[in-house]
Amino acid sequence: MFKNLLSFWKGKDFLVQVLEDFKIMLDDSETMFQAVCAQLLVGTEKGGLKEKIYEIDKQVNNLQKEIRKRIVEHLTLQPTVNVNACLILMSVVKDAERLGDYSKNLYEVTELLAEPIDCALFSEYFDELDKKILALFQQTKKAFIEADEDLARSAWEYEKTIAKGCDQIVERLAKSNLPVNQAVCFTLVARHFKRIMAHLVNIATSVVLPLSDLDYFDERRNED
Amino acid sequence: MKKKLEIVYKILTVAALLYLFLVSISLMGAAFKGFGKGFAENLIRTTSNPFIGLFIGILATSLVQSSSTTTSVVVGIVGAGGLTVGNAIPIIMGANIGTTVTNTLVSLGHVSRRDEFRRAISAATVHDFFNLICVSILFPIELATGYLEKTATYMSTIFSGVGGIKFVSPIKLAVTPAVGLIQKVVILLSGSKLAAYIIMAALSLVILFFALYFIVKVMKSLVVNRAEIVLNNVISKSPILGLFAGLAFTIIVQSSSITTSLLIPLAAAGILTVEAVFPITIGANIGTTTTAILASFATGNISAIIIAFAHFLFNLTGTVCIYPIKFFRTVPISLAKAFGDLAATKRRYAFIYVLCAFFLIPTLLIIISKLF
Repeated sequence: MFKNLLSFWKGKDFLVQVLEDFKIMLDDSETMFQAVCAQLLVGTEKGGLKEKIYEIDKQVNNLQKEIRKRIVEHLTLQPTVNVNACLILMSVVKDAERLGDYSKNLYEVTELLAEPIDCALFSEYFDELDKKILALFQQTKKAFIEADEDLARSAWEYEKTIAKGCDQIVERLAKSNLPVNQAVCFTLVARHFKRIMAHLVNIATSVVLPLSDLDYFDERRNED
Repeated sequence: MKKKLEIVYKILTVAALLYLFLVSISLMGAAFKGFGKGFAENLIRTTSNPFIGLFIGILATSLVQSSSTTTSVVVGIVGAGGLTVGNAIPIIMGANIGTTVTNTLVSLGHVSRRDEFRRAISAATVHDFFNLICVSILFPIELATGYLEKTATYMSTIFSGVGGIKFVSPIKLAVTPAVGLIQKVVILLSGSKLAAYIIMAALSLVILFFALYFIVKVMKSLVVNRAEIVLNNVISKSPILGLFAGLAFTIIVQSSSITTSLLIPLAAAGILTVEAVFPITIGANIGTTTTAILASFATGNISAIIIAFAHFLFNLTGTVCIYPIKFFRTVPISLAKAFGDLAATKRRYAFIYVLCAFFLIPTLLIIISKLF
């Protein structure tokens, strides 16, 4: 009983705990994304991937709820402490949750394919875009967790260069003579990739943008 | 290093405030003793009707929004001989009901969002219903048997010693020089003794409010980080741990209103259910009795200790009678939920309830009891 009571006394500070949970959310989303992209490129169903993807997505959703709960608890007890951090976290957990959702949606695209994917064709269109997104995942995580402003700006710039690629892919697909099923699936992949990048940059830019401008990094970029 | 210094500074501040609090109780006792026998007899006569005592307790606590203040004042007056233990017990019971107004008022802040408000007011009124049920059961039992007075008297023998040895409180010894000094200065400045005692009584109340207000504030800032961790660990896990968490937090911050009010936004947000709020609330109910116990040691009077223990026993027996049995436990929860549904549908009922239960009805009943 005493040991049990002690365990209730012990615990990490709000910000430490919440940032740890948030990092797990990003790690999980990255794992999902990586696994789905691997399947897209190999073109064959890996045993149990679907279950794994859905399970991780559920974990990401639960972490989002847990972080929100902690934020409400914190603001109730200490309404004037870490207010900005809380509001930023409230916003970026949504982005992290969307990363999980889009990774899951990417998996669902693989299920829509009528035939196993033509890997050479996929590589031709996407030109290792998945690897670039994985690099963006890494930059975003480091920038946010370490509050590294330079890295956040660099992630912002990096996204600008690779996001254009997604629009060009869609444009090429629209003009192509690919079978409908393949063209639709490739288009969906391109759109999901673009959304994933946008959510990653939302997270990265929260390090440098004012609270009111969160999620509007593209408008700020145009202004700058 | 800076953080450690800050903690040391806060602990020293609390120690100083605690000393002020104890001085205020002792000063109040000195003032009431100074008013003389006639005043005491009049006060005792006024509160000899237990129903008046009960409603005075409700009204006074609702007005000052702190049962710690009411019970400390009662302890101070009992210590000075201005009230008998028997007359003070209903006031203490009333204070228990009155203190629930604070978190109910906090829940009214969520009135603009219907579902949020339903959860908030249910979580707030579970405390009200629990205390109302406790009083409904224990008040008649006390009137018929005097069990609280008898048990508290028995418990206080620990402090009075055996064989007629008089109780000498070390706290009383510590505050006596300060009280003596204030008394001398006030008598010197005021000219007449009666004016001096009136000033002393007013001053003691001011010091009491000041000390309690800042003790709560400083202690909260000292423990809030740990409280946040404990709260997160306790939430929806074990009701017994919730009860202990409520008890411990209230003993530390010396205010059940703070504990119970902090739960309301969490309940409103849907993080805490009424079932989870309930044990924390009754833990706070027991924890808040330590203020009066502490105050009683400043009086150095055994009757004051008896009334402080009676307050503790009242809350303890209420909890022991109601909480362990599932059927009884669900009564305040169901009532609070039903009231939450009603108040969310017609929100004016919430305002009418606060106005009537805590202010209008006690005032009217005091007037009626005085007339007849």
